[in-house]
This record gives sequence, structure tokens and C-alpha cells, in this order.
Amino acid sequence: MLSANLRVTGYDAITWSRLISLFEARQQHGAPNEPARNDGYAALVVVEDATGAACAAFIANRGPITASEYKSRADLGTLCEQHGVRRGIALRLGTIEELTERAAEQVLRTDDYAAQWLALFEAARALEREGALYFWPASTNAAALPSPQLITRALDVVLPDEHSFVAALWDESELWTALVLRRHGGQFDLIAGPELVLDVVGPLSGDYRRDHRAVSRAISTSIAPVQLGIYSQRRRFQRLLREAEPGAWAKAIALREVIIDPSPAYVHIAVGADALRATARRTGQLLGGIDFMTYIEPVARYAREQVANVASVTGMLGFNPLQLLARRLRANEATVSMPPPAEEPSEPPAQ
Amino acid sequence: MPKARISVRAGPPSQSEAPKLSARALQLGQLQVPLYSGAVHYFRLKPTAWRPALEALKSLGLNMVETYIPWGVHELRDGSYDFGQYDPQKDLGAFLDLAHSLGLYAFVRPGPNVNAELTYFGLPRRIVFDEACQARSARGRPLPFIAPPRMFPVPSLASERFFDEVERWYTEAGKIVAPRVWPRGPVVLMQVDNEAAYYFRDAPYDQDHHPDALAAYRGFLRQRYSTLDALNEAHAIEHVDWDEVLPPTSCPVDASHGVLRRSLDLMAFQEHLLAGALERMRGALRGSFGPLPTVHNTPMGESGLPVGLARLDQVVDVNGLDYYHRRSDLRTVRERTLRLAGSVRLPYAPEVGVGAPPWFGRRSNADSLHTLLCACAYGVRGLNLYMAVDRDRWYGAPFDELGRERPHAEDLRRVMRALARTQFHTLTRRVEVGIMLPKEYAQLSRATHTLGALSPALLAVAGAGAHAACSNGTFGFDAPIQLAWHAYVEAFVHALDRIGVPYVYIESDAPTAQLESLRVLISPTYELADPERIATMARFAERGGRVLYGPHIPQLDTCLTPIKQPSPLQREDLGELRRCDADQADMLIADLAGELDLAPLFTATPDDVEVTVHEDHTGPRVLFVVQPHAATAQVEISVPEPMTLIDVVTGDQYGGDTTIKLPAMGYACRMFVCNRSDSSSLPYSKQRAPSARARRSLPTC
Repeated sequence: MLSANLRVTGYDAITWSRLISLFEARQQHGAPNEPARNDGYAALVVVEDATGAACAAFIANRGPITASEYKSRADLGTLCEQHGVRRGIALRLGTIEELTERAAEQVLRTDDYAAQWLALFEAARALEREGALYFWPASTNAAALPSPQLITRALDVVLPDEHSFVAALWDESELWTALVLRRHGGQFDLIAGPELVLDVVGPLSGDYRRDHRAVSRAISTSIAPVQLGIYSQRRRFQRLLREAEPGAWAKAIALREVIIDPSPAYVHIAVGADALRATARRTGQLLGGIDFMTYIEPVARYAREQVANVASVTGMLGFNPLQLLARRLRANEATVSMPPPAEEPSEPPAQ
Repeated sequence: MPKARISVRAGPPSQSEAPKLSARALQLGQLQVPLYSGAVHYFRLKPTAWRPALEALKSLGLNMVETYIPWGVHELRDGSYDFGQYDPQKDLGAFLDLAHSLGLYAFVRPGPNVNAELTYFGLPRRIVFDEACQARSARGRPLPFIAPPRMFPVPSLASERFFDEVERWYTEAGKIVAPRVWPRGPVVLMQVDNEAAYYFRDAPYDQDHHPDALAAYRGFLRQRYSTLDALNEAHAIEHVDWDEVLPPTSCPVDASHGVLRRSLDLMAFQEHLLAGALERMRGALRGSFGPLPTVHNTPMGESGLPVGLARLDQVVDVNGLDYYHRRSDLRTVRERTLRLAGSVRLPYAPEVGVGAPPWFGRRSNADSLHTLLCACAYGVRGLNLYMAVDRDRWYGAPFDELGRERPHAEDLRRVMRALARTQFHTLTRRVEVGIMLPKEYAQLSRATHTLGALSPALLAVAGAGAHAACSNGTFGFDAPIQLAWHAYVEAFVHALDRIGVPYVYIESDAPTAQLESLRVLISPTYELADPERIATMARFAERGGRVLYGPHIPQLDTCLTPIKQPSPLQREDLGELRRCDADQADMLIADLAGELDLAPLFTATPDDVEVTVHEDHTGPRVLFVVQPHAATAQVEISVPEPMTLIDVVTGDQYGGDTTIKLPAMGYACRMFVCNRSDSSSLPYSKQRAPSARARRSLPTC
């Protein structure tokens, strides 16, 4: 997925922090621009000896703890609650060594970073299945890991080779942050930020509804043809990333709060499906809970199949990446008692 | 580009005219040059951007450019080298010449490991995938490291093949560098390898089972035990041949002393191997580059690494620490710097992150600034801004890739100017208490680490502590020493912090010169201890210092064999040696602080805000106010004489005769220049004459 010649450029600390902040849970307390530091979010780790008793135990950001009362995995939840942490991991002594040994050859058999990580995760999953590794609370939605080939196929749909992706977010009239990705030789070889955008585009008007054309055109000329461009005010975009309500994306696009330019076919389908889900939910509420989607799903499936050369990324991966991201952000922010993400974390002054 | 190139026939300077290190600075002839530099990666910038980049660096007030020289960038597929013959961006000679023509000195770092977020950490692919060069796991597999954009098998620091290749690389790079060593060129400093942590596969039982490493391991044990019988007895094994001897592959949970000893020997060997590898590289580098002072940078997580700061400080001239922190981690910056200041001769920061690699998450400009200030506050005396000019796989340097200034450059410029103006590298911070960190206990903690490749260093970086995943087994001792010694140290740290007594951490294998300015030494002792450390503590007491130790009188040495001689800790003629438990820490420290007058002259309220003072023979010159918590505080500082404090970043001034009030923002460090109304008065050292009670206890050294 990442080229060995990957280039990452065009960010200063502020614009990179802004980009990362889009995908981070925010905190309620503490100094501005500080990441969430909530002890409840840290994991409690117990290493078990051959008898299943704890031979070592610690909390990730606190340090070692006494776990003499831990006799078996049934005690992990209680131990976590006693220490006020929400997640626990129990593993047999030697599990990490086993993991690294098993993964070593698989990891080095491939020359693709995503595939290398998948090999590592697969080895961890195998150890979990064998009982060497145990999570509390047990994961309820552990989807099967996609294969590297599947990821490549999904990427081929989202961002075909020798094409680029652009996302540019404005704060009022200022280009707030941006992300340019390019695929070359089947791998991402460029991750670039607003400095590169401004270098290739030149001065911007400050209105994303007008600037998007110039940005897409300039990136297409200087970097690679743009397959997908997303332009918006950053506050609207931040809210959308956390949006649970079906139809939010469709509505934002319809109102030109988010501009997709160019807009590939799969985006039309995704937006259409989003609008459809919203309609279904509202209709279902009106009809006293009848699951409208059950009835229209065959129609929707038929419609999808009729669109030639377009594949559903969600169908391929087995999950909707945007929904997954939104769910994770909402869950994490609930963990750290989040205020609504209305304001960006500001760069604090030196003093 | 300068027209005049230095003749490559010119050799390195003679030993007598070569740059040297003295008094915390480089000695270049009659000139003293402090170690302040900034990183610019020529190989990542277009040659047309070199001049603006170097001029930008100078505009920060820096007079030294630092750069890696990455092997994998310069070596071509056919094994030949490109130093600009084909690609002008790789013209190291031209870059150094340009730096020279601009009046800059140069600090070069030729690896072989350079990291620098380069693919394969800057090593050539052919080296990385040469099986003879690869480190091996217990099952003989290569050890991949997860760095993006490719996980790669890490090299073996025992592989003879690898060393042969490294020496060839140094020879080639030396052809460019040696003719440009000062005074003929700008090069005044060079680094030996990088981040000595087995390429971050530094878990206690991770590596190395490369045949050359196994041979070295057996050689190490032969030297330690002489005979196989002695080894068998010590390790509780029954080998009939040295070739059967293999390192242990997993952590002992609660085993016999023989099993524990095997693990302790492995920890000692890992340090020996790493330090030996660096010594070998240093020799090769000096042969190729010339007689330059050498540097090494120890990465984050040093409390859990296989090799200590003090040990590497014996290998190179300057061994420093890297700093990549958020400003919410100022307490960690403090802890790390206190360890550095106590354990090495010249507390130096080879990489103070200004910005970060994208995969470090986010670091703000304020993170960089306050980390830099906090490191200085606790004793760093030289530093390299990494990066000064932005580059690929980096964000947040004060100048972009074209040398254009970003807004936060001005803050850094003001700090660097203040450091230069105050001669900060020559100042001292008065510290009279040392906490000695026993090497043998650190190795015991590593030996009992239960989480494999999630190494002690990694846990230290994560905030859990290097000892977090230590086994809770007692191994026949009263308590799990591997955990207990940390609690002992922490108890005294809290006691010292509570009443504001400054202290440093001293790794126990640091030279005794590190103890010379101290009056109190604190160190945990259990049933097992290194007799050499105990002897050092006894000598310290004999010279008039106070020693707090405990809770046990050691009976076993580091080989777990009984110590035959009576412990010097029990000798009553040696002076003030006090055995104590951790729960006595508060009381003892309070007593000692009163008796020895250990409290600092500058104190701050609220108590959790700390003031550090750096002085020369005339008195305080620089003062830092550190607020390690989130809340903004109104700080009241009691001062021993009337003075004005001038913030070096904002220019704000605060004055007072006996107290000074100023605001301290949350998670922030402020640096002030002290402007005393009567700075020509009595030398400061005399103003602070110790009380009669304290004088009786002053060390005689």
C-alpha cells in the first residue's frame, strides 16, 4: 500500500495536527491541543504463568499493579473495574514471543506494508483463537481481516493507479488543512499537505465553493489526475465524520456544504445509499417500525448491479469504512466525555 | 554552489590540530564552540535549496549544521557510490563546502543506522536482506521491525559480514568527509551509529542468535567463568561442550538462582555486545574520517534499553538523549534529563524534535519549544534542533523545504540567542543530592520482563515504566527486587520533590567524577548487589558524603555468589551511612535537608511549579519556571536578592526584591535571564555560605 519511495511533505505542525485531529477523539479537560489522557481509556494487561495466575500486571499509562487476586480470566473484568479501566488483556507468558516468531517470516514474505500488518494481525488473531490471548470485554464485532488482495481491489476502486485524491478543508476563508494522496505503481507514493497545494495552485480566493475547481485542476496537472476531491468547511466536515444519522452526507452534498469534485460513480452510489437509508429510517418511524430497508434492499441491490464497472467498497471490505470511522470516533469521544467538536484545538501561544 | 572544491587528496588533520571536546564545548584551536546545531538533510533537498536552508539555519543563531549521511542513499545497485557524480542532490562534498563557505561547522552522522524515517533506516536493501547480516531470533528467524513504509529485518550487531560492509561504507564516505575535517573544512563532530537499541528490537530475549552473536556470547561467558564446569555450576546446567551453550530464550518467572543467573548474564552480554559494536564502529570511523570527537544518540525509553547512558558515554565522547515529547510530558522530560545530567559528562540532546515524523502523531510547535526549554531547565548543555529545515517524512521544522521561515522560528531564534548570550553551556545547576540507579537491578528488571517484543523501553515510552511488565516472582529473595527497587527510588524522589530539593539520577556505572559535587547519595540495596557499587557508596561516605541505602545489606554479588568480606556499608568508621526503608524517606529527607541546608534559594509557590537556576561564579544567570500540570498558575518565586527576570521568548519582565510574581501557563516552561541589580557584588558562591551545621557535613573531596 505504501511505496518504498513514499514521500510525505507539505505540512507544518499546525496543518498536520489539524489533519490528525479530524480522526482523534477530543478531550474535555486539560490544556488546549493536548491529546486525550484518560486513565479509563488505558488497558490493563495481565501476563499469566503456566497455572493461569498473574505473574505480571500493569496498566498501560500507570505502571505495575498487584494482581494477587487474579486466578483466572474470569477475574479480568473485576480487576479492570477495581482499577477503573475499561479494557483488559490477558495473555499467557511467551505469547508475544510466539507472535513475533510466527509473524516474522510471513511479514517478510511480502513487500507491502499493509500486507505486513495484516500478517501480524492474522498471527495475533490465531493466538487469540488458541486462547493465548484474551480481551475483556470480548470483541463483539471482530470482522474477518480482509486479504491484501481485497484491500488492493478496494483501493483500485477508490483511487485507481496513477490517480490522486484531494481533500481540502477551509476555516472561513483560510485553507485549514489538506490531504493529497497519489497512487503510483499500485502503491501510495505521495502524501502531501496544504503547502504543496498552495505551491501548485497559487493564491486561493478563500471560498471553497469556487476554489475547488482550481485545486482539482492544478493537482491533476502537477501531481496526477484527481479521481476524487472533497472540499468543505472544516467544522461541517468534522461533524459529518462523527455523524450517525443516515442521510447526513447526502444532505451535505445536496446543500453544497461538501463539494465532491470530481465525483466518481462509487460516490454517487454511496450517497444514494445514504439517502436511501435515511428515507428508510424516517419511513420506518412513520410506519410504526416496519423495516422499510428489508423491502427495498433487493431493488437497491439490483440498482447497484446495473452500474457497470463500479464496485461497492463496502461490499468488498465487508464493512463501511466511513461508518466504522464515525462509530469509533463517537465511541472514543464518549469515553473521554467529549464536548461537541465545534471548535478546533487551537495552537497555544508560547506563553 | 561554491566553485572551489576542497582537494580530495588532502587528508584528515593531525591529532594535535584536530577538534577536541573540553569544558562542554568543542575546542577548535583557541576557539570554544558550544554544541548548538540544526539538522538539514542535503540528500532530501534540491541543491538549489541548500543555500537558503543553511542561511535559514544561521538565521536561527546556529553555527553548526548536522546531517546524516545515509549509506542506502549513496550506494548504487552495482555496489558503487554516488556522491554527486550522477545525482547532484547526493553531492555531500558540495554541501559541506557550501556550509564551510557560509561559515558553518558540520556535524556528520554516517550511520550505518540512520533511521531518519528512511526506508530500511537508510541501509542498502542488499544489506538488509543479506541473511549473513541479519539478526536472528531464538528460532533462527529474522527480526522484522515495523517502521513504515516497510517492515524490514534488522541487522545483527555481531555479524562479521555486516561489520565488513560497514567498514567499506565508512571508507567510501570518508573519502568525501576526511578532506573536509576542520580546519581544512567544516566537519568538527561525527556520530557513531544511531539509537543503540538493536534497531528497536531490543526486548530482553529478542536477539541475537546469529552465529557470530552466539560465538560472542560464549566468548563473554568464557571470560566471565573461565571453565565450562564453573559455568555449569553457576547456570545450573550440564553442558559438555562450549558449543552447546545457548542464551536463554524466555523470561524466568520464579526460578532458581541458576536460571536467574543465565538471564542476568544475557542482559550483561547484550550491553557488552552493543557497546562493543559501537566501539568497533568508532575505531573504523576514526580510521576513515579522522580524529574527530564522537557522539551517540540514545533513543527514548533509555530506562529499559539494553545499554545504559553511562556505559555508552565511555564509548563515545558525548552520549546524549533524543527528545520527542508533548508538552504534557514535561515530567518525563525532567526525569530523563535528570538521568542524563547525572550519568554523562556532557548532557547533550542530539535530537530535540522540532516537529516530528508523521507517524509520531501530532506534535505542536509549543510541544517542541517547551520540550527544548524543559530539557535545558534540568541540565542539557548542548543540543541539535532536529529538524531545522523541513524535509520528506517530516513536518513542523521552523523552515520549510525551500528555507522559508515559519512563524514559530522566531521563538526558537530567541531561545538560541539567549543560550548563546548567557553562555548557557558553561553554567551549572546546583545539585547536591544524587539517586544512584543500580545497573544490576536495571538488568534484573529487564531479565524478568514478561512481554517479549513489547519491550521495557517501549513500555517506558508508553508511560507504564520500563519495569511495568516485570514478573512478580521473588526468586528466593524477600521481595521481587526487580519491582521493589523502583518503589524505593520513587519514595525518595517524592520525598525530595515534596520539599523542593534538587537531585539527579546517576547510573551506577557512571564514573565517580559524577559524584564529586554531591553531598547526599541515595541508592537501594537488596540481598543481591554489585560490590563495586557498594564500594563506591562507601567511598562517598568516607569522603564526608551522606549515604542512604537499604532496605537490605547485600550478601550476594551480581553472579549470585555469596560476598565473603563484610559489607563496607556496615563499617562504622566510614562516616554517615544510613540504612533505611522506603517508608522512612519523607522523614529522613526532611531531616537531611534541614541539617545540610539542601533547600534551594529560589523557591516557588504553588509547590508543583518548579524553578531551576543556572549560575556562574557571579551568581544566577538563567532561571526556568516549569509548570508540568495543565492548569495555568500565578507563581510567586522567592529570590535571594533583588532582580528582574526577562522572558527570553516574550520579552516580558518581572521584578522584585524578595519575591517575584509571574504567570505560568499549563504544561509550559519559561526561560528567564536574571538581571540582578547588583551583579558585581560578592560572588554568588560566597553569598550562599553553608550553615555551620551544614559545614560540618561537607564532603572533603
